[in-house]
Amino acid sequence: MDQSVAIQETLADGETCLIVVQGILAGEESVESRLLGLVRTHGEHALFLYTHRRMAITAEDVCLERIVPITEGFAVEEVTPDNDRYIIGSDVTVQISSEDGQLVVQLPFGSHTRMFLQEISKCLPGIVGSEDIKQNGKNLVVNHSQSTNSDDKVTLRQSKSKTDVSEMVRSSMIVSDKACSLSLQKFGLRDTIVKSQLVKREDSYTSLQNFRFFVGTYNVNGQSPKESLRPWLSHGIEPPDVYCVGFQELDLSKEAFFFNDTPKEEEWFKAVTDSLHPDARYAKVKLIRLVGMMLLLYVKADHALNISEVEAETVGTGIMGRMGNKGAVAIRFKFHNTSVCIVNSHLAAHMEEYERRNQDFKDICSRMQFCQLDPNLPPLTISKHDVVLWLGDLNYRLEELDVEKVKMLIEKKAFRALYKHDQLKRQMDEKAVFEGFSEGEITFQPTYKYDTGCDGWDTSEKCRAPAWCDRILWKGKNIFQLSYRSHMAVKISDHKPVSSMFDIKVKVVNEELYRKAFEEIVRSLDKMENASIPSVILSQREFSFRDVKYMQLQVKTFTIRNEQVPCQFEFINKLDEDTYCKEWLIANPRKGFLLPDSEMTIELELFVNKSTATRLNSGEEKLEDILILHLNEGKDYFLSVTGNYLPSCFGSPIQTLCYMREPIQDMSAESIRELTLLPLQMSDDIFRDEKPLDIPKELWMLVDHLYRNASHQEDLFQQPGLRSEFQQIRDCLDTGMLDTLLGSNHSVAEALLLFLESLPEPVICCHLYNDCLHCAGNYTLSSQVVSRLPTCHKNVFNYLMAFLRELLKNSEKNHLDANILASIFGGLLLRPPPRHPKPDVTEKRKAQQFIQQFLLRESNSP
Amino acid sequence: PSPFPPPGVDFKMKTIEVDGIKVRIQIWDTAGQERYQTITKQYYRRAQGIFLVYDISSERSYQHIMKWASDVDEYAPDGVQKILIGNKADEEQKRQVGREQGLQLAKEYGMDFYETSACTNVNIKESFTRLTELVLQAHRKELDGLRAYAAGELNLAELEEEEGKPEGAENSPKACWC
Ligand SMILES: Nc1nc2c(ncn2[C@@H]2O[C@H](COP(=O)(O)OP(=O)(O)OP(=O)(O)O)[C@@H](O)[C@H]2O)c(=O)[nH]1
Ligand SMILES: [Mg+2]
Repeated sequence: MDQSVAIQETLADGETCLIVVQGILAGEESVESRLLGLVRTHGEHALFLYTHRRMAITAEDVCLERIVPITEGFAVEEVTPDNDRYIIGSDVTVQISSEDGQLVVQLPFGSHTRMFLQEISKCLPGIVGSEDIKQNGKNLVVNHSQSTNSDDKVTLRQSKSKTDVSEMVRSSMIVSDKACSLSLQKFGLRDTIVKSQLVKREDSYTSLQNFRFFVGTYNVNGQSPKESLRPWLSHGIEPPDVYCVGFQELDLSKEAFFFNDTPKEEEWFKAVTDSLHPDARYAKVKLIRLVGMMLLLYVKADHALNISEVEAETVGTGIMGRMGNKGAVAIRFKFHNTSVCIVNSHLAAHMEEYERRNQDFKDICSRMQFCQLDPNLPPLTISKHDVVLWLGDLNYRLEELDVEKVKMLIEKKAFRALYKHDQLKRQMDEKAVFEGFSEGEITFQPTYKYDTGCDGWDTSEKCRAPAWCDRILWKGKNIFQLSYRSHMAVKISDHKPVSSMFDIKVKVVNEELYRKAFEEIVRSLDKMENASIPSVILSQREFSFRDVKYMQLQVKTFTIRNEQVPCQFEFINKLDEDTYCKEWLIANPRKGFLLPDSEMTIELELFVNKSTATRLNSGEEKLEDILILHLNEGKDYFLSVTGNYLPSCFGSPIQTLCYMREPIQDMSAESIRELTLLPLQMSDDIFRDEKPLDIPKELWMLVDHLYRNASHQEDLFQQPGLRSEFQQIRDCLDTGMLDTLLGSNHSVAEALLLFLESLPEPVICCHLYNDCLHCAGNYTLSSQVVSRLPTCHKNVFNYLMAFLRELLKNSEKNHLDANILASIFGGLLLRPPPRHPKPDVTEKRKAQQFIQQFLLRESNSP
Repeated sequence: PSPFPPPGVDFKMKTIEVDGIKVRIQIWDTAGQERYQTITKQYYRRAQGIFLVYDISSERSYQHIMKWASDVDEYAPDGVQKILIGNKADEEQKRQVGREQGLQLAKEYGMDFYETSACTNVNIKESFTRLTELVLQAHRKELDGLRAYAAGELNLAELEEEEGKPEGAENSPKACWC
């Protein structure tokens, strides 16, 4: 039962109850039950102690008694209580110390307590790393004190154990503790998968080993243990590995019934403990009691390590279908890798009530639910266990026989004949109860009802007919009953105790094989996960663009074929760059989404324009780039792009071209580089052996062509040329293959404009831009500015002006006027320096005005 | 598809257990070819642990470790954990780099050293476990208790020194441990 719900209800907003455990608070004289809740508030933790009703369901069932903050100085230490009766038991007793005192609390054995202590240890402030938690298998409970002695700080202060037994059982906790730390919900679903896979493969890493179980049941009729129980529990047998001992009618008093509190628990617990087989040491795993039903579980101390996941629950089926005078108590645990559930039930009484008993059985089966370590899993029911051992006063009677007949058959030891009248057998034959369970042959006389203290049948007024009330059944594979008997020598009650010995084959884990299976599962999960990482196939990932030319688009395509996982792809920026590729490249589309098994074509467009041409000419930059194609939550692919660029007069500086007497593509890469990087010469000083040309020959060819062919051309510089013709013109200029330019006047005119546009340094050098705008309108000043240009620029300027004036002379034919030409050329010849804001209308007007002055003057002709 | 992953950064998850703590590792396998080096560097920034891998049958790949190591120094975060790996330990007959040379270099850099074989699976698990341990140790103070330990994901970048041969030049089976 999860009592944290009740506690959570008492908390304020922002406070969370992480885990609750029920413990016994050791006072001076008395022992009292408390609920201990670990509560988190805004990153801080505290233990809340509550007094409570037996089963706390709502906030009304609990009452906050005390809060122990988990701060510096808080410590939880394991101690061994002085009280003798706990020597054998394996409940954990801890001492909780804080600034305001100490508490000693006894916590039940089991996984829940382990979790609880573990959660606390996580909340200790400034908890040390896992290294320390594991190093010493024992420091499950970490003492966190401010001691300066570092040894002291992290080691568990465990008081000396009185016996080896309790020591053993404690370490068992720690071992399973480790297993549990592996399976805490940190990995959530993944863990659940691993676990279920491990269960599936169980056969591969477990082998069966025989263990002997003693199962006993005794209805003690409210009596105290006046005699030794040895004849029942240990006479004439080998020491069993496991003891499951159940009682009914432990206490018939009203106190027990209403408050579930009885001194008999201690008495009988001690009596059993004292009567266990003397040739072995046993550890108590668990005691569970509901009113008069009590179940005790012991294991041989050597096996303590192999017991885990112990849980106990109760179900009342008594008055109102809930009270605990009838019903069952049960303990479930894992022994090695086999899950075992022991049920002790006391079903409805009276001869005629067999259907009621059947119903009790069903109610117990459906209502008995054990919580699991993994909160993702539903609670466990009895039937989910590998081994179920069911004992108790099932109260089924012998029917259709009168008392005398029964006694007569008993006298003759005609148990088979008698058994035919057994209600339980008949009900089981009809599948009305205990389906799937087995019971051994009964070769002992009925265990009910005797006069207390002797072996004689009931002589009371009621004179009950004898019956086999006390029974032991089992369900599961690999269970072999060795004996099934009663113990007539024990005369404390009106029932006789019954016992059965079983050999049960338990699945024992081979650590090495387990490890292997575990690793395989983890690996296959990793594999699955890796298969769900997006991944694509690229049709091509190296792209080589050959003979790239100025302003000639080249496109290469490739396909991205998606594999199994839907994915988002994108070309991402490289380190310290704010673009995903070089300026001359574009990937289209740059990003996209692909469904499984679909594909998309990507175009890589390479286009060299004026802003990249110069550096490619000079070789300062190469056509080389690597693109990163990134898949969201997946891999990155590198695409490599290379190419060779054919240098061009387009994008070359005026001065460079003036030094080139040959077409640029006949020049060596080194001389192009050298000439391109040559600083702009301001005067006519000759740095080089060769005198430069007055103006670039390419410019001359373009202008000369237009001068000779286009002076009468209408719409010159206003109608676009043809792309293909531009390419021919460009090739002609760059290779010098032809003496005359091919193509229409418009294409040549456009090539001229493109040429001027592509100049890295405009004809009117940038640094004179502002001066020109200032003196636009003042021809003298303007001429002075022009005279300050480097020689080759000045030449080009004057040459162009002369040419344009020449065109204007034919304006009747070509309809050009100074206004049009000045505005077209103004924007090309005068360009602002880099980082200058884009020219606005006023600036453009001034540039036009500046040029226009020169078009209207006849002087200065070249 | 070709048996060789295309150059880039391959990305895989692996779960291993170190001292009973489950650790999820993100493995980035970066392309080793020289021309990608400027780009692969950017992946070092997010690494917590790095394998520097050379090929024991290639003296050249061993010489190249120096370059990798200095790149890592420059680009990887402080406190990144490194392990030197001499791979292809199964190719004893082609060995060009002695075990001692590996040890020596590792010592100079203060790294652990393993000779591994992706083909025969020698020391693969061990080296992963070791690097994870080192990373866990290095991050102990930052991580808060056992819970964070197991939940924390590690990023191990794997840098493989490559041989300079075009891909597909070798026919030996591809690594099979992941
Ligand atoms: N004999 C042998 N061959 C191996 C081993 N590991 C890898 N190879 C082979 O070596 C070649 C190169 O392996 P890759 O894993 O592609 O090398 P890489 O360093 O990742 O290469 P890049 O990703 O290009 O940097 C392949 O043919 C592999 O099959 C090994 O341990 N032994
Ligand atoms: Mg690789």
